[in-house]
Amino acid sequence: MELFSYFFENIPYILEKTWQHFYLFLISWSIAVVTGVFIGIISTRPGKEKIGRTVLAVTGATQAVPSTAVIALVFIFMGIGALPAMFALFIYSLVPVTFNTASGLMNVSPDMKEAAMGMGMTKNQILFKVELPTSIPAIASGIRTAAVINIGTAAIAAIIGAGGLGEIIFIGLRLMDVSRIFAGALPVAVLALVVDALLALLEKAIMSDGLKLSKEN
Amino acid sequence: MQIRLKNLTKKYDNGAFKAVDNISLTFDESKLTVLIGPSGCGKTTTLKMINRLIERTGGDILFDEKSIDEMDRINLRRKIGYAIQNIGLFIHMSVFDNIAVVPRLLKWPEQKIKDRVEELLELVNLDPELHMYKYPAQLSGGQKQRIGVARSLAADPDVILMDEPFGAIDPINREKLQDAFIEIQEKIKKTIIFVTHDIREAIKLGDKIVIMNNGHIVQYDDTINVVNQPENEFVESLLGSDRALKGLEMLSVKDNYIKDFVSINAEEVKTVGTALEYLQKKEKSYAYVVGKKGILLGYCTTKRLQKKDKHDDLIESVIKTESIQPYSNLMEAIITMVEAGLTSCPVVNSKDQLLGIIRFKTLVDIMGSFEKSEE
Repeated sequence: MELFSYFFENIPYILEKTWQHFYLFLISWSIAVVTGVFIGIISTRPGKEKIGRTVLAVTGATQAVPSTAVIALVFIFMGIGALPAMFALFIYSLVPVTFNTASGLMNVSPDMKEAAMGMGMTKNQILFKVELPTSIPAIASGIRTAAVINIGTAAIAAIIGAGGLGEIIFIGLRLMDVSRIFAGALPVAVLALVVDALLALLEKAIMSDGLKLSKEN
Repeated sequence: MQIRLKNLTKKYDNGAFKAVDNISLTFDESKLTVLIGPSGCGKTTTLKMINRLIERTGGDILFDEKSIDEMDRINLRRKIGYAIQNIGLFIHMSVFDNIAVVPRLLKWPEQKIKDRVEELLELVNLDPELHMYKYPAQLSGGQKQRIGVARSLAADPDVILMDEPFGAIDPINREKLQDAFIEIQEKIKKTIIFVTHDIREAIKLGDKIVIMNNGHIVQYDDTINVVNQPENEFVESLLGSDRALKGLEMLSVKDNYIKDFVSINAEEVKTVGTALEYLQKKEKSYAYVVGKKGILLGYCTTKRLQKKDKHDDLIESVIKTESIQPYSNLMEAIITMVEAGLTSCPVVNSKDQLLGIIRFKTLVDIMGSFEKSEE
């Protein structure tokens, strides 16, 4: 097969680039998840409804900014290399995580929160026993979206010298070498699908049966 | 536990709006007191100031003469049961975990919690085996309300605050829940403060009623007195034009039926002829017919009997009739009688034995007494 020729002839190189790609993704995405969930939580605490709505508006709007624009902007201010690339990926993944965490928490039924407060839960108990557990579907979907976008955008980050599978794709494009382009694109797609599937499993494992049932209804 | 409100006030917008304006009253221990009034009258605000979901701006709230300021807000809430209109069951928790929330906050041992959850489910008429591990999404509306009530009782609080707990449910199920709730309160005898906007619910459940309007108390009295002697036009309009009928809901058949009636025992009187003789002797146009052990079979009238041959079996001339039980209220009695077109209705016990009769005239007289106090 002509299409797979480059792929099979360069497996060690492709594996190395895949690892590099995964590394770019994992670091930037993990930090984005932690930061995004954190921002989502603090911006939706009682009495901070205004901040929460602002965060939603800003993150909602910035989701429409193309990934290349973010990478280009980061390049202007930070130059080239893996670090600026990871920063761009971090910013880009932060948006869906923050947006979904904030909107998930803001959509927790006021009745549940009132009941929890009336029963004598502290603010932290309400957050950890009621708000976060019932927001898992929203937060998890933000985290999964962030992962898939991140892996895709990481391929583009190769133009600012980040390395990863994007490097193979861009060389292939320049040489008009379809087999080379394919050898770069295929692992990107597989990586995104595998990570998403693993996260879906994780989501299912931590989500309460009660939530699954109430989503079905 | 007794709760006393002392000059309780809640101002908003720097005093421009007073949701609750300087109210003082005492909620009696072990009684169910209903707070009622139009929306915006301050009833829910008053309720929520008691568990400090809303902070008051003036006055005091005393639990057995101890100010709520002397108690920690979180601990106070754990000692007060709380049930709300939309229930707010935690959808990610099983029925068991929902009920166990406050006991767990209070760090009860797990075995004690389990026993308590089972006890409460039985109290609200839900089979623990069947429902304990279900999730809210698997329950009907009525079942959710029951769990909400059970949850508010979980840590055996002395005081329970209920904010329209049966408000979001269809009328038929609401009546059932109210009946079940009256039975529960008979058993537990808690100090309950119950907010509603439904006057029928207030009359049915309340030992006492507080009528509020514009942040003030309009009338606070025993339910019967509120119905009999409304303080002013506002209370009258709240009670509605059919308050005489509502008054009937508070009274039960057992206190208003009479034992003065004519009955024929079909075990002894077998033929139409003897029955007619008996009726003529008693100068009555009809009589109830009972069978073995005094079980009601129906009634017979002289008119009907005269058309028959006097050797006919009496049983064949008996007309079946509606009956009512002593624990029904007079409203139910009147409905039964109007629907069946009866001027008097036999009262029977659960074994269908005839106890007496209730007359339509009696009901009209009682309604008349409510009407009179209305003037």
